[in-house]
Amino acid sequence: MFSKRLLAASLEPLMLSLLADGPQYGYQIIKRARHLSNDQIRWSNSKLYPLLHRLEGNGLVEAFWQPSDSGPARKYYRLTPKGHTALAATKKEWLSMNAIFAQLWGPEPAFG
Amino acid sequence: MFDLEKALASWRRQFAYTRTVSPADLDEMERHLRDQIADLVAAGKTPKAAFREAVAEMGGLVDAESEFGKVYWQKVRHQRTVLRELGARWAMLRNYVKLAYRTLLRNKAPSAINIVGLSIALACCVVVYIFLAAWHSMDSYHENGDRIFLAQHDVEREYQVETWGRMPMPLGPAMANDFPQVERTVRVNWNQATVQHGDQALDELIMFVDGDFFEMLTFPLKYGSPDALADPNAVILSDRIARKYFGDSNPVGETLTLTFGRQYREVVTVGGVTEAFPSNTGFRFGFLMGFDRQRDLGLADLNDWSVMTSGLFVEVKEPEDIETITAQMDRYVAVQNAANTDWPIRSFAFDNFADPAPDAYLVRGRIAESAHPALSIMFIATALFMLALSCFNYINIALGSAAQRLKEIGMRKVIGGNKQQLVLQFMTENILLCLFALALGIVLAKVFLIPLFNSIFVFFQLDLTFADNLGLWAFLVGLLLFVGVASGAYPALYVASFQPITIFRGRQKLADNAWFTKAFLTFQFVLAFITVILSVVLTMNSRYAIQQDWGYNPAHTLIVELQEQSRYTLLRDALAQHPDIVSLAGTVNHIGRSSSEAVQQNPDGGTQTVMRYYVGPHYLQTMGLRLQAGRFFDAALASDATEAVVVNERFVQAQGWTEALGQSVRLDSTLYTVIGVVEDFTYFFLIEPQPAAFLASNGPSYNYLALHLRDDAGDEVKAFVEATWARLFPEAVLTQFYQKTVFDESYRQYNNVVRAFSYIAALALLIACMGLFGLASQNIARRMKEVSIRKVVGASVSHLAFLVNRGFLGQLALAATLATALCVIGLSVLMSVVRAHVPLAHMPLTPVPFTLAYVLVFATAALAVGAQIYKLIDANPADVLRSE
Repeated sequence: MFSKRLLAASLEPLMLSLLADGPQYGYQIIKRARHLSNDQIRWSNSKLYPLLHRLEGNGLVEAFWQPSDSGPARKYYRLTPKGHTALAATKKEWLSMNAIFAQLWGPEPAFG
Repeated sequence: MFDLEKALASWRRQFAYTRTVSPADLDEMERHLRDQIADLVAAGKTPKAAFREAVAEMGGLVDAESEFGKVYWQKVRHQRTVLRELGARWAMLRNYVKLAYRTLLRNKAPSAINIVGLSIALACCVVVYIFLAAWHSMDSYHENGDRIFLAQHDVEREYQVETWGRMPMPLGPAMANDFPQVERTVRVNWNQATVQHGDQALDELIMFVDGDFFEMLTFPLKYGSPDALADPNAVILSDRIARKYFGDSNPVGETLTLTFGRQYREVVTVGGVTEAFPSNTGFRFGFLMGFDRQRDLGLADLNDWSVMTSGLFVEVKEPEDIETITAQMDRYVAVQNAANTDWPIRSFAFDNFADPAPDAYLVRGRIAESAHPALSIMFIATALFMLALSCFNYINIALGSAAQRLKEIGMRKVIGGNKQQLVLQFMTENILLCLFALALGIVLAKVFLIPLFNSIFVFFQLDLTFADNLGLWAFLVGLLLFVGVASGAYPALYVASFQPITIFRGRQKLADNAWFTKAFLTFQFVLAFITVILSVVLTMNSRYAIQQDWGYNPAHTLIVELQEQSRYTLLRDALAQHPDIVSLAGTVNHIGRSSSEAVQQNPDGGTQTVMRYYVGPHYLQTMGLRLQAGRFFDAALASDATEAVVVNERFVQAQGWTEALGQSVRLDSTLYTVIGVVEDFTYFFLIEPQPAAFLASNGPSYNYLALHLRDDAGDEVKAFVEATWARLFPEAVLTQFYQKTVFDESYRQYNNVVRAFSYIAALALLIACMGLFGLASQNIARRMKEVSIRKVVGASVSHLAFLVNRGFLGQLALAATLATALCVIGLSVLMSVVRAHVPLAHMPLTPVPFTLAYVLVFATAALAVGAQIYKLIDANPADVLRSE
């Protein structure tokens, strides 16, 4: 499991990256994050939706309602151009941080 | 059968009244739940279990509220609905205020009691705040305050170092001459003078100041010009003095006659009047005259290093300069110590005038009042104590009256009010109530407490002004919020946590009286009893003291102060013919005004101090002192003036004589023979008679002239004396008084103390009774059902009233016992301590004042619970018991 602080720090970059693949709705995002991380990232609803609403407020994400065959309409979120720029910036940051760690730690030692 | 649609609708309903979660948000959440439930059902769960799991994961109301609350305003801004949002909140607030207002109106009695109770404490807080604000910014308003310093010096006296504020006369000019850093120096010197205007003559303090006074200190003039200080015949008045002598008119050009030491008379013209001093003025004056005038009037030698002036202000060019100057002050120490060997100064120092050191109050003879920390602490403690008492009583009353609102609370909860809203509503009510209390408190402070304060602390006057007083406004807002929360938070939280189901089933229990509530009530009543007992004792004692037999009849005796002994013969001859004057006598000392002490040597070698009165031969008859044995002085007998003494009963008792006449008495080594004994007489208000000896003095060097008037004589004699005096001594002011008024000033001062104490007692009683009221209303509310059943079964009202209140009766009785014991022990200890130093005259400690105090306290307490007893009588058991 990740530490609480890392989870908090990675929440927004992860969200932007997940949304980069196309419009998705909240429940779907939670499921994808869980699946991608092998169950290690389990966002609660009370974390996710306020974040999405905040990003929407900041103009990084836009939301739209899409009718669905299986029930009432779903609220989808997608990146705005501003969101894409923010993602690029954040990506650059994380990659350079990653490069520093790689230099410091060298190649991953082989276990066993 | 589980119906998912119904379950989801129910889930949505709980958010219906939550403004932070919008319907669109709910749509989204609901869709999330649906997706998750579908997945869980696909994984094999029942719909019911899936619903429960999904909802549990979604989080409760509070979680959603707080998390959504964080992004709420951002969303509102984003959706451009800020105005609508603010409008909604405003409407909500208005609704709270309206409800609060209606509730206050509906519960008139408890509201009024709460408002009055809190307002007393708040008034105290307001006064304490203005006092502290003024007290700790004393003299800070002078423009150049940071560069003005007050000189002081350390002196060694009797192996102790003391700091004094007075300064050698020539020091100021010497410093101005020697130090280029000194901008200017101003010396100030007090002198007493009799100030005469029209037929009014009063002793006042005149302040002589150097010419730069108004350049240095910021005292703007209302009338006239500061140049008047240079005019040898001018005086500048403070606003207060100008009003005292001339009313509201401009007095510039008016004249006053000043008499210094009864010989230097001076007619001066008013040359200016200052504006009224701000309330934070520690350095104040009434009359200002040029410093050099002291030399002209022969009052002081201004060049003599052994003569001191009351104070010295030094203004330097830069604040830092004072350090350099202080370091070089030793040169003056030598000069002064050489001139004044009795006063060995160690060092000179300077303290900033506008921002004095915290221990400035230790400087003796400081010309400006300084903040004494004891006073600040005392005031803060009083305010906090009052506040604590009031808040505590408020909480009890609020909890008591909450019982009547149980149904309302239940209803609100059932129709969707959550705890937060209820708390908000109760707090709004409370803040509104506190606001009323604050308004009343300000009025109380303005019309009652501040005048009371100003009449007690004559040297420091307070004023409550709201204009230009940001600090006061901030304090009032802070006080309102603090008191609102401190008094209201507990009742609001407690009441809002009731469950509707318990309320409606009639099972809501109200908290029982904790032991400390009882102890607290008892404590409040002990205070109330003590203060009431003491104020009754003090009041009765003042009546007792003034109604005591004085040992003579003071009603028809008029006393004239001669001031100069040479006036005696002239005045006596002029008055002697008046038909209404039965007898008249000159005297050196006068009962109630002056006496001396003599050491009496007993034959056995012991000594005792007795009071000695030198009196004219007719004085004792004229005053109407009652002879017990022997005779009064006889002017015709030459021996009476040298070897006769008249003593009083105490004197005889102290000697243990059985026969006083003819006994020999040695006073200050002169031998006298007792020729008469008079009854004991009161020589000072509230002080017991002392052994006294009268010695004859044949004059004519007398200080007083005593006139014994005919019983039916009116004020004509007084007028006659006045006319005669004016004819004989036109330059002097007459002082005459009836002997019966000789103690009036002491009596008035004593009664002021008694009155102040009665106010404290009334406050203590009021606060204690409010505490009682709160507890009684809680008590009745809790026991209404029990009482109703008893009523139905046939209990009488008096029995019920006793039953319900016997707890309080017990606490009051306990308080009365404790207070009585404390008072009896305290008073007798106090009296024995005091009487070791001062022979106080006081009435014997009888049960009368105690009984009066009990009646007063119990009657007030009965009033406090009376309303509750009425409620108990009035209640129809059918209504109370119907809910069962």
